[in-house]
Amino acid sequence: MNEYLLGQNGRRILIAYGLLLIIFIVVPALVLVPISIGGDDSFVIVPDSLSLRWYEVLLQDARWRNALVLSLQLATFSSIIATVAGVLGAIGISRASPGIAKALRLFFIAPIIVPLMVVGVGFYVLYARMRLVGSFVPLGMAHAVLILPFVMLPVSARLYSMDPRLEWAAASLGAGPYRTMFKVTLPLLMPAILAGFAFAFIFSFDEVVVAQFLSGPRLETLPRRMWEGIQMGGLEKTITAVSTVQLILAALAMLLITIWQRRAASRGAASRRQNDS
Amino acid sequence: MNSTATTDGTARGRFRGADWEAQQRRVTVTVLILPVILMTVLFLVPLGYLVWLSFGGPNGPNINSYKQLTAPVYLNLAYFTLQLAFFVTVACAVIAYPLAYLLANIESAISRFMILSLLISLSLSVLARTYSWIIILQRNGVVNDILQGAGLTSQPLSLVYNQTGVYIGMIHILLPYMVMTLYPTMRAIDSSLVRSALSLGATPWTAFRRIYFPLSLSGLVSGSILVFMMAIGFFVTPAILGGGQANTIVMAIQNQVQVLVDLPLAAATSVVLLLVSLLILVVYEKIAGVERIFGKGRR
Repeated sequence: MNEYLLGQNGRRILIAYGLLLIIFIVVPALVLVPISIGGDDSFVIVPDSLSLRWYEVLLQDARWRNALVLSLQLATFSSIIATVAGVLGAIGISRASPGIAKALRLFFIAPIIVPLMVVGVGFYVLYARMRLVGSFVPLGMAHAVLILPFVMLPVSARLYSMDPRLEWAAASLGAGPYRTMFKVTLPLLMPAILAGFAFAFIFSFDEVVVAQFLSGPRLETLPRRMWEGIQMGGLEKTITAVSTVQLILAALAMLLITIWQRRAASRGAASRRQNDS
Repeated sequence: MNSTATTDGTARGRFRGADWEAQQRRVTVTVLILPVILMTVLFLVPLGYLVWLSFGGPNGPNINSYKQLTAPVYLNLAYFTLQLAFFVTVACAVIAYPLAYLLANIESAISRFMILSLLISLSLSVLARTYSWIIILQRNGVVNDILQGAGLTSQPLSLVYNQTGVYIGMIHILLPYMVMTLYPTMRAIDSSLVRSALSLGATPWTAFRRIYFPLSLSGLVSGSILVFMMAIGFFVTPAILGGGQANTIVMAIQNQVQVLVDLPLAAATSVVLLLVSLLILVVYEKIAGVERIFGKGRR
């Protein structure tokens, strides 16, 4: 406890405030879950009858199913490219001289600083000229660049906190630079790489601004399909089912990452203690 | 090769050192080739093309599109966007500060649970969360049911498809970013400074005002810049919850592309927004340093 400014009552009030705020942050996302398992068309939070019929629509209706499959493929494709490029970029920045590293950091962070709409229009005008609108690979490449920072940030953070002596040890034992990278650096970065991959995947799976420009008439991604449903008044209950699936996937991914990182951290601490004694 | 290197042991060592450095540099460049090419082709080229198009594209350099942007309708849009982003940022800062203070200073199972909830909510779909606000805030939604059930209002309030809805939705989505930027800064504050101020006779309020708050200011500033930047470029939430009552500059760009089909105008608007966001990035770099986002400050 490092709190000295508030009295006992002040602390209680602060904790109550915090809990209320967490409820404000978390609960709105959760109201869709009970609505999605209600049997009838109404949007009540406590449904009269339970059924999974809106999830069946998601899998049986061709348009929804195709959108779901397309978005899964797109997120996988773009996240893999972003992960390879992001990990290489993070390692490169950590090895570059301070001035160059600073410039590269600004360069690589730019895709999440520049508004999505601006990047989207940029891609749209270029792709329209090159007749690439409505094709899978160009859309995937555009997503890959947008989500590259999501991979780079956790990997860079991990590189900063890594013990450089591990790499020196490998080098002094005769391992070449690439061998050191593959056998020493990459395994140590694994938790951060997976976290980055998950962030990238989640972002691509939810991205609608750039996708609506680049997907053309044929490629309908899941967020675009949802967007259309919401624009029509949001009365299609399948949207609540899709949202629930998205929420569960994202929450599961985050939970696994957090638990895994905590375990990795405690294992690291344990092995350090062993080495010290 | 070098004759001194083969005869003199120390020179040979120095030569190998230089060789090792050159090899290391080669590895660094090799590693960076792929990401830099990717970023150049897929980020700089589209934005460069956009700049070219905004100056008339094939019809020679002109500033016609930029002149169109000085029309009152666009100035009003820009003004509203800045105003929205400003108030959302202030609201997030004021609401998030006590929570970040709690998370950084009161260590307990509750605060750990709160941090986990914040991290999870950061990864949840923006589209899904915005959609759920429609259901919560609409005329026959939960909030109106509760207000009417409690007898606080006689008829449903219109809370969504207007500016109220946009403010609620945007604060809800951007608040966790503010908390998670403030939190590491507050964690790093040495609590013995506050303790010494108190032991020297300062009241808790003075200790907070003179010691704690100034030390937390850097986190507050960088969090505010981050939230402001995101708020300016936000599309999904204002477009869905605004119902046409809260049009921002990015919504105007979408309109220019898909309804007006005036690509040079859309390009010019985008370039202005691009310059604004790059300016904010430079300010952020000067004040807080981009390393902070990359995790250097977290150690």
